Amino acid sequence: MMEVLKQAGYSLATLMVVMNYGLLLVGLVTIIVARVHGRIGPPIWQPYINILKTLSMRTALSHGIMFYLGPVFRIVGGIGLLFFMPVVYGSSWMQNFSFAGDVILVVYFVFFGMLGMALGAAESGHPYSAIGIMRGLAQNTAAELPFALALMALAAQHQTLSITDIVAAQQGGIAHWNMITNPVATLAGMLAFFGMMMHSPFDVHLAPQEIPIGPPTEFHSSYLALMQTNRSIFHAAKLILFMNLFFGGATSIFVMVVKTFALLMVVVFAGVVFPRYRVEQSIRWFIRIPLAVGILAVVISAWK
Amino acid sequence: MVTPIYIFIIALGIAFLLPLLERAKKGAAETVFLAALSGIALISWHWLFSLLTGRCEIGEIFTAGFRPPFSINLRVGMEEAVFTSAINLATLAGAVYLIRELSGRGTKSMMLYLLFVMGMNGMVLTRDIFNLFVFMEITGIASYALVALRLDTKGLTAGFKYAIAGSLASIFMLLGIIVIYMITGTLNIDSIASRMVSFSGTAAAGFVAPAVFMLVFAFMIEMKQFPANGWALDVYDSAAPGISAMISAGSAGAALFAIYKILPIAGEGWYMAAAITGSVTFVAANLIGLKQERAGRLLGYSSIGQMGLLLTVVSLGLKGSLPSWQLIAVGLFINHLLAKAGLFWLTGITGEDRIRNWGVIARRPFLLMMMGLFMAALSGFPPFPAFWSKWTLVMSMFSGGMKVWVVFILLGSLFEVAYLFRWFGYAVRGGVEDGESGDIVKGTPEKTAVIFFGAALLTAVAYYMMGKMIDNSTLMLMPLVGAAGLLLFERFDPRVRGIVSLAAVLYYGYMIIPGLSGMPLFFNSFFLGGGAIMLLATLHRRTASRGFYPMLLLMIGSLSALALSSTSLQFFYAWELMTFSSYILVLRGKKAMKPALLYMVFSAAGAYLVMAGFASAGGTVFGGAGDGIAGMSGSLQMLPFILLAAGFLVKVAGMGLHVWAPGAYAEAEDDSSAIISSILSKAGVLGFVFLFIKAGTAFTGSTYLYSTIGWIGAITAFFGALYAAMQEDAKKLLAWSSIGQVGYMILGLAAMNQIGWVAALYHSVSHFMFKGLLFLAVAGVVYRTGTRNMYEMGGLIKRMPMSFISVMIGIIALSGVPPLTGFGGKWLLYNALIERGWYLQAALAFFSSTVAFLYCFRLVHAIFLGQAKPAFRKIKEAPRSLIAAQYILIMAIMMFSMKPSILIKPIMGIVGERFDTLLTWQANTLYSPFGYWNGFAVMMVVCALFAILLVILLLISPKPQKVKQFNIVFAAERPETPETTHYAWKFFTPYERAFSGILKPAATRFWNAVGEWAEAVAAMSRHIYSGNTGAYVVQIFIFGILLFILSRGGLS
Repeated sequence: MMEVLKQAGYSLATLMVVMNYGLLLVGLVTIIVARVHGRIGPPIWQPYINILKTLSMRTALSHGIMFYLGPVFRIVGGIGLLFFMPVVYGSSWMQNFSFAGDVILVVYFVFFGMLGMALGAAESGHPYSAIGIMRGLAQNTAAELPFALALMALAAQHQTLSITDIVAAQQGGIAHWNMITNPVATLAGMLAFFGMMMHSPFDVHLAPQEIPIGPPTEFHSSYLALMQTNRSIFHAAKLILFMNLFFGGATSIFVMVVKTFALLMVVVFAGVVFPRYRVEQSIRWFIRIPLAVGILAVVISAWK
Repeated sequence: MVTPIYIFIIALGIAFLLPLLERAKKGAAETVFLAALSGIALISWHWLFSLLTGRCEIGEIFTAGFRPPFSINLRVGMEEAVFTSAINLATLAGAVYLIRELSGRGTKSMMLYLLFVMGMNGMVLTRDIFNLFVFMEITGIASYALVALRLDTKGLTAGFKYAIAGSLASIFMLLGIIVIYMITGTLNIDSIASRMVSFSGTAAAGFVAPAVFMLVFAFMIEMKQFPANGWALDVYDSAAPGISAMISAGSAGAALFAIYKILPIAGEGWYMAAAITGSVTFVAANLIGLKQERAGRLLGYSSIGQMGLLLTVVSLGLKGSLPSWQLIAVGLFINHLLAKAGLFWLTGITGEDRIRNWGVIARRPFLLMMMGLFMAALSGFPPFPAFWSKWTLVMSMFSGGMKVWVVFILLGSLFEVAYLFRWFGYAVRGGVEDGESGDIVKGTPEKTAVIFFGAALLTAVAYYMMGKMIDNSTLMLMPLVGAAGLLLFERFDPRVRGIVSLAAVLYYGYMIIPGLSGMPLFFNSFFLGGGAIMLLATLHRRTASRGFYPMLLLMIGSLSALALSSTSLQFFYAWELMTFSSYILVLRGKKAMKPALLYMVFSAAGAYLVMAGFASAGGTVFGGAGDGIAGMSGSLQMLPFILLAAGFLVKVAGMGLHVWAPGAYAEAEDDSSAIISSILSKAGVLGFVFLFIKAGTAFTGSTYLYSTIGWIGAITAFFGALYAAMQEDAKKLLAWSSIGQVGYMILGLAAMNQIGWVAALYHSVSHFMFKGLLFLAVAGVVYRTGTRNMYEMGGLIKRMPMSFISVMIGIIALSGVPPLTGFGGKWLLYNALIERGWYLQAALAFFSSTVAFLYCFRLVHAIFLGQAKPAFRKIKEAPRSLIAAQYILIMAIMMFSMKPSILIKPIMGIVGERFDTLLTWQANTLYSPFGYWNGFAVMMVVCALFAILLVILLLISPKPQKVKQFNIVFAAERPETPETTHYAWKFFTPYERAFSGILKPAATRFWNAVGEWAEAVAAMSRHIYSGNTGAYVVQIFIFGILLFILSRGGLS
């Protein structure tokens, strides 16, 4: 029992680190995008202000039980994703509950929150929620195709599905990273990564600027607070997953921050350069070049 | 013993006495007529009984005290006794059926009938070739007159055509007999054969061949061989159905027996020609039957086909190529005799010739049941005699190296199944197209009794044959006994029947399961346990549901028998029972006519593949250690493996062979759909399990074959999910989902390693739970809303919260999202595939499972979330028994999700030592060579997180203001009719657009084309039967030429 409590305490501490890191990242990205647009942008702690603001709203509406539970599902999905992954390789406390399952568990758990939030938003009865969810689900599933292939290429290369083992295999310098030892799989994974991070050009389902559409417009006050918190955690967790899979993992929090930040910047830069895809365009994009790269990755990795 | 001469004495004597009797006392003639027929029948039965019990020897009767060649002699051996007994029984029953018509036409019709019966007896009994000719003429002339008895134009012209064809046959026969007599100096059949041989090489030999040709040609016409059979079709079509029944059942049998006697005279060279003619006729008649719309003519095609098949069997038997051919022939003959007569009799009762209008008998459950029984018998379903005969036939043919024959015979049988069940579909579901709405079925008590008698007799013969043919027949009989027992409860309230069925399943399970182990234990627990839960769900039925519970019990029982089977025959028997019972369950759906037919045709084709597979393995794939497929040398194993795998792929709806499945799953009644898709779909999985166990991986080509099956599984999983996402109909969505889910199981099994098999079996159970749950929940929704279109629903969460919870749990489990059971199946599957090195398949399976999220969300959103329609604002929660069954399943899902080991450990035990052990348990963690999974820990973490975060939300926002469902605003405006804003129709349009390239229904188009081609060929071939007598005569001559060419080939 003590073991479990100790682990829970460690995980909570990890969560705090990752959450704050995630919030700062969101703030920073907003600034970067604003600068590219020629604006100054909000302060870096704007996400904190947003959460405090939404938390202190005095009114809240509910369309029903599922609507009420939707954000809970969503944030359980985000935190759970983080909790089932080792964050820092070799650290005694940043292992979370990664003993519960391997990378298959982690990638399936991504959908837990998505599905729960979708159910909640759909109960609102607002057609725009449903349209936003449809777009999000459709695009995310398409992005999974190259990702699945990349994952299988890694499984073929390392003959393991354990994230810890995959990270362990990449230790000993940049030459051992999967980025170098399996560049095609990394390419496939990174192409999928663009879709999974939901940045432009793959952010039509959020459509943050012009049309109020999708779950974030229906949820408000404390629900939105939960969702905003989740977004920072979820963002960070996905970055950590990709770092672990392709870029050698991290042996300290510092390395983790550097690597994930660099990874995020790839997506952010692509986002400010490329215009947004419509949903069917993004799906078509995933099932062409990324799919081909993914198949190539598997073939090469299985050949070895 | 009573000498068979009395048969002729009674017939002739009474025939001449009848007019006198009628004058003496009105109505006396009928009594005496029936008594005479009974007397004739009794004589033949007495012989049969005495011969069977060994109380007498074969009877040789010499007329006038001389021996042949100076006298005509009759023989009553076992064969003759069987045939005369059967013919006399049928004609007696036929007379009872026809008695009102016959007496209405006066004594002359009864006289004709007696002569008809006498002629047929003579054809069977006589050993004199000229006498045979005479009896054929008597039978023929009596039947022309009987056919024309209606005195309408159709009957008269048909009688005339019959007479013309008969005369042609007579001319050739007489010429043949004259020449043969000239050469051999005898008319005795037995001596002719022996003398003919001695003429080879002499000058007389030049005459032998033409004489024999004329003789055989004449008999072939009598046997109504293709294409010289247009006249016969017109006869079946136009005569009173009672008369057609007798001609089809009786005189065709007599003609068959006659040719059986004649062929040895013709010599061995003719056997092959006759067999080819017979099988061509079988295929052609059944092919043309596909386009037939009239009941009488359709039965005519079927009769001609059956005669062709019998001719093939007899010829090949005489040739020595078919061991135990007598059994095959007698089984086929009796089956044909009773079932065909029964169907003709039914046609007479309904008085409806267009099969589209056969809906008239839908409201007569007894007649419908009889029809179903005769259909099952004619199509060769167990336990009817044709089933055993066809099995033996195919087994013998394969072991004799006659593979091509098997192909033709199975093809012909498939055509027959198609048109017979098309007709049956109209009867059950067709309604009446343009007839009056009143009840036009005009049965009389004696007619109904005769039909029942025919069915009872058929069943008795079936029971007898089953006892002889199958091992452990008592056990195999259990499903049928259970179903028959339930028929006794048909008049009770449906709930009583449901409870009785449930009790029967539970008791049966209690009796057999403790004695089982391994795969039989797994599948029996699965089928019976699952069946019981699903039976519980059916208890909400308030409608009469006639025949539902017997068929359901039969299906569950046959699935259990399938899992218990230890020989190929037992397996195939159970397989066919399952097919038939599930077909009826599908057909019960309101719009199920076409889907049910498609299901039947595909199932039959699959079953024939399975049968051919068993045959090619020597009949003992699933039984006999070291025998069958496992004992065959490497390269020989490929054929049975491919055939069996193809058959099972049809059942699991593997991509390309799946076109029957969406309709069958979706159009069955709502609770049946749940059963069919959650339980029945695993029958194919069971087939694969048995096959893979027996076949192993050591044979030539196994790597490619398993890999192909694996790819088919993966592709099926993908397309199943993709199509499911595009459906508007909730049940179609679930149907496509089931197709896809079974694909994963096949993929897992084909990996042929421990993890793959555990994955497949685990996923079977898991799929049963969540898919049963989803189908039952949707059944409740459809029951309340009256629609299956999801876009017509919406917002039902407020009215049906219990059903909503079911669907939500169901989709989470289905999608494979942790922490529910679905994840375990996925985790195991990927590990298995990685172990096997099937990375691409694993990636495709992974992608499929993400596509599954799409339809999962769509299902729950379109039905329960969004805006409600005004019509459904007041509907109630689903019926209690449906909800109860769902919550049992939910409890099971929760239990297995919490502790996956309680399901996986036993499954690992069942998979056993067949493969290298790859999976290990350490406390709650399951380890594979690649990864690990602790379901318990995942569940705990998720539950704890959920509880903590929910509490936080409750603390921050304890009482949000509740708003009504319609209280929505967008762009600062409130829609006047919010229900129109429910976004559900064509939900995934962008996906559809992006994947438009691969969403074309190629398989459906292909199979439609196959169907259209078959129908077009049938329609074209049908034109040769123009109804023109001259054309028929030309056809007879063309047939003669073809037969001549064929016989030349045969003789050389």
